[in-house]
Amino acid sequence: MHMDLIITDYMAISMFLAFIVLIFTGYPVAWTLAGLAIVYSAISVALGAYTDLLDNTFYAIDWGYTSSIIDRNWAVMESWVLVALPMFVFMGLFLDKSGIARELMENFARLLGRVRGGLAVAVAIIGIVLAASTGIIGASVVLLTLLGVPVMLDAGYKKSFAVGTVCAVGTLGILIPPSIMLVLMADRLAISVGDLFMGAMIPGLMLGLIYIVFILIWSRLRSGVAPSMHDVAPLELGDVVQILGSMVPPVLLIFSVLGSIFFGIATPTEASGVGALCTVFLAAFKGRLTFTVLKDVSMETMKTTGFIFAIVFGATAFSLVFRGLGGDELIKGILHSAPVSPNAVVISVLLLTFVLGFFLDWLEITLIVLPLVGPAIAGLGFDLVWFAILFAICLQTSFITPPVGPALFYAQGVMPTSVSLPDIYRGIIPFVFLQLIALALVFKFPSLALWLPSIAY
Amino acid sequence: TERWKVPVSFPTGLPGIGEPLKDWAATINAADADIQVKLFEPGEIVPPFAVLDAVRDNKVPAGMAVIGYSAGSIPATALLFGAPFGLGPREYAGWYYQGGGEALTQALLNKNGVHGFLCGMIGAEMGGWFREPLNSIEDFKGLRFRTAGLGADVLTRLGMSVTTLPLGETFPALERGAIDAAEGSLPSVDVILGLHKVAKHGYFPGWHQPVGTGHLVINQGVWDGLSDAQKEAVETSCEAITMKNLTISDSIQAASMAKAKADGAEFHVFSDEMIEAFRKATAEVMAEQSAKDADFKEIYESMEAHKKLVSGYLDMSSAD
Amino acid sequence: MSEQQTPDASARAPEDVAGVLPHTAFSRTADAIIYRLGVIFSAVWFLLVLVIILNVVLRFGFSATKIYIEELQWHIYAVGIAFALAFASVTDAHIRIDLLSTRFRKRTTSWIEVIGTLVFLLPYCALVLIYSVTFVTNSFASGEVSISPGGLPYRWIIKCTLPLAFLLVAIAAISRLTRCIAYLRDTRR
Ligand code: NA
Ligand code: NA
Repeated sequence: MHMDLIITDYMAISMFLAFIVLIFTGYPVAWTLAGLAIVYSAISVALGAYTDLLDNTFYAIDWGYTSSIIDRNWAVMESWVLVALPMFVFMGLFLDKSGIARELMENFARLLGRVRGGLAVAVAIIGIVLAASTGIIGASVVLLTLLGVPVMLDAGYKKSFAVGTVCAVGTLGILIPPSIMLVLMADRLAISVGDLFMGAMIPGLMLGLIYIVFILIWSRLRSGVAPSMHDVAPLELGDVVQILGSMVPPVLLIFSVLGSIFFGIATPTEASGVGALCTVFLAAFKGRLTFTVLKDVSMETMKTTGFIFAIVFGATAFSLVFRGLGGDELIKGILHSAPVSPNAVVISVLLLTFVLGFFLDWLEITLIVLPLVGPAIAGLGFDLVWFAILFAICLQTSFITPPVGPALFYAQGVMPTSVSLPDIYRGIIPFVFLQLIALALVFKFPSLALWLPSIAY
Repeated sequence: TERWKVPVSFPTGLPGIGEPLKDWAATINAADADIQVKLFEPGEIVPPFAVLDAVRDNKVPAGMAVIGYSAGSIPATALLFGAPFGLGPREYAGWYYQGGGEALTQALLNKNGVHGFLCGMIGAEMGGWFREPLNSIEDFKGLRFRTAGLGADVLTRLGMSVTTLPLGETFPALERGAIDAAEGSLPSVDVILGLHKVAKHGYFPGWHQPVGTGHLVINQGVWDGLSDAQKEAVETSCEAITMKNLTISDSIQAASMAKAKADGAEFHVFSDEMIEAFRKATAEVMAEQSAKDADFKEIYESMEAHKKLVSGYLDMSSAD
Repeated sequence: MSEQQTPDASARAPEDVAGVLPHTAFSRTADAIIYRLGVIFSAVWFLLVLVIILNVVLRFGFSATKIYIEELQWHIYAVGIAFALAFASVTDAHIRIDLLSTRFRKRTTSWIEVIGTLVFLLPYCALVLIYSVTFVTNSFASGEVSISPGGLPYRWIIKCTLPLAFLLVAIAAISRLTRCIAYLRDTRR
């Protein structure tokens, strides 16, 4: 494989490498992304003014081009769909600060505490249900972290295991419909949103199931990872009834979100607001609604929303300038030089997507890779829905692969301080492998993705 | 050589709508006019709604815009994009090339810091996809309908409960019945999205949008700096793509409609009673908009005058 | 400034540099104002819950959608973001990869902070602020309104939230910059 690199290619590559190196200085990730966009614009402007290196290329950028940052940031601020993010964060924090989350998890602990890994399974189940209501990763990861991590740590779970579980399960929302990612992919590939939603259903649920099976097996194999709780009193039938009874309100809460979508009461985004209000009602019902709780939750929502959107803004600036320097074309060039057998093409596209996932977020990868490979894949006779699902699983992995794993960032922001970044990195490794297993299964058995769309509607 | 990054307002992967833009790019790149363009998909540089603004502010030298997206700040762009009971494709082309439309378009765009041309055209869209068939105008009362623009204004007057959900929300909302109907685009686009699977009653005609146009907009300063030959090349490339785009989009609808039917969708036409109600409310909307904005009034009257001019011949000469 | 108003840094690792940074006259005032604004405007999130519910009730219960209420949702959300970014700055909540940096000397970390702010953050804020001027004035001059019937007018007002967000971020950045410089000066041998 041979490619001739030109000056802008070196700029794009160095911008990328600079980012990877500089985030380890400990300067905020968001501002490193945004700042590199400015620095590389300045370099391009200077090269354009004082040299002829950028003549006869599309990849000379000026300050006007970079100022498109304004429109891109504004697109985020006037986004209807992203309204769900602060709402789910609000909901998660409210469950946390009002003590409802703890109570819910403690009840799970009494029911499942004698099972090794029981709490993690409970988190996984909540995560799967939550995934069916939102595709906003930041929201579900924050919510699950607040809900699950403190209780799992109290129960003696290994930090990395607890954290890996919430990060992985929290990203299921992008695969299990509804999902904004699938909508964008359908748009780019010119295929049906409905087919893609249906196609993602079985692989998404299958992945959730794989997590649960892994949690149960792993906690049995490795003692100390997810211990059963010793101080759990033996359950009498009366206890079970009482615990199940006490779990009714929180379960109703989760189903208020899902139900309002399912019965056509609210759109998926509005369902986030429905969930938030039901949480407030639930707290009031339990006598936990005080002004202090409301104020604390609102302030924490402000803070969490702030750091999440800073990363969104930073990433959009970075990708604009990276694209302006011809970074997209560079990646496309790599794709073009891929091997020729049809299966090898699919595999190399997925491999590239997986690798890109370490460094770029799903939106950028979708924008770069899909328009390029879509027609080629269809031309080879593959079903685009099948390919899109494989691509989506690969993208889901990108959320949890360091150094640029948005789910890891979001979890880090609300994690107890005793959990360190290495704990997080160690924790997600097995889940990355599980996602690759799911990927392999869908690759080998296309009907996992294609059966449901073929019978639906 | 001029090298332009050209953002577009709709994906170039959409057959009949976006795909012809690739032909346009190839045409102008091959035109020996020292202009090279490179298309950028919606969101790659700026969001689709911001293309015209980005060109005006010289963030990019040129863009392929859905001009109606700017109706919030330039109301008359809603007419240029295609308006309720407005000009159909043949009339629009006639108005633009023979009826003074090009000069009016140019004047409006110049006033807003850009130069531009009609550069792409499609036929009438669909009237919308409905979960239940419509029996009378009474069925419109309280019907939750996703649509936008002047058509939305018209329907609001008929008692419809209009919403502007983004596309990502429209599909699940329509599927679960949070809304009752949604206006899409051409059958070729809607069938790709799968709207016909969640709301199986497709209605014609697209009275709210008898034509859909694309416009190439070029920053005024960039335009002024072009040679006459370059200006000529740009204009010619747009004329070529406009005709080609329309014929492609007309020709591919049958296959999409057949696919929709095979998937169990049904096609209907709005009753005369409904069309009359739409028409009456549209007249109100147009009068209101004309009173608010002088450019809107001027362009609307010019379009209506052209419609009247050609109608005598077009009506008589049609065999059906 | 009372103890309660001191930005809560508990979300960060204890060895974070903010813990040892001295305050300056400017940073004390600036942080207090941004923090206070953040606390006041954090009320928008609950307001947003209520507006979403209102919208759901109107559409589902009464089939009476109001586009201005739909738009009010993202208007409120934009106001929230405007204050959230800087609030996260003064509470030091922005995500850092502290894998290596926790082992750096405090002076090194402070230098990183100074350089990052001067080379990355402030130029970025400057670009956004400079180009926001035409962004807002264009909207004002053209009398931009919602594209939808019955939508909200005066778009330029809500568009002001974009420059406002980054003005506050810039002030928070300068505040932290003065603290880092003070620290570097104080610990100079
Ligand atoms: Na989802
Ligand atoms: Na990643």
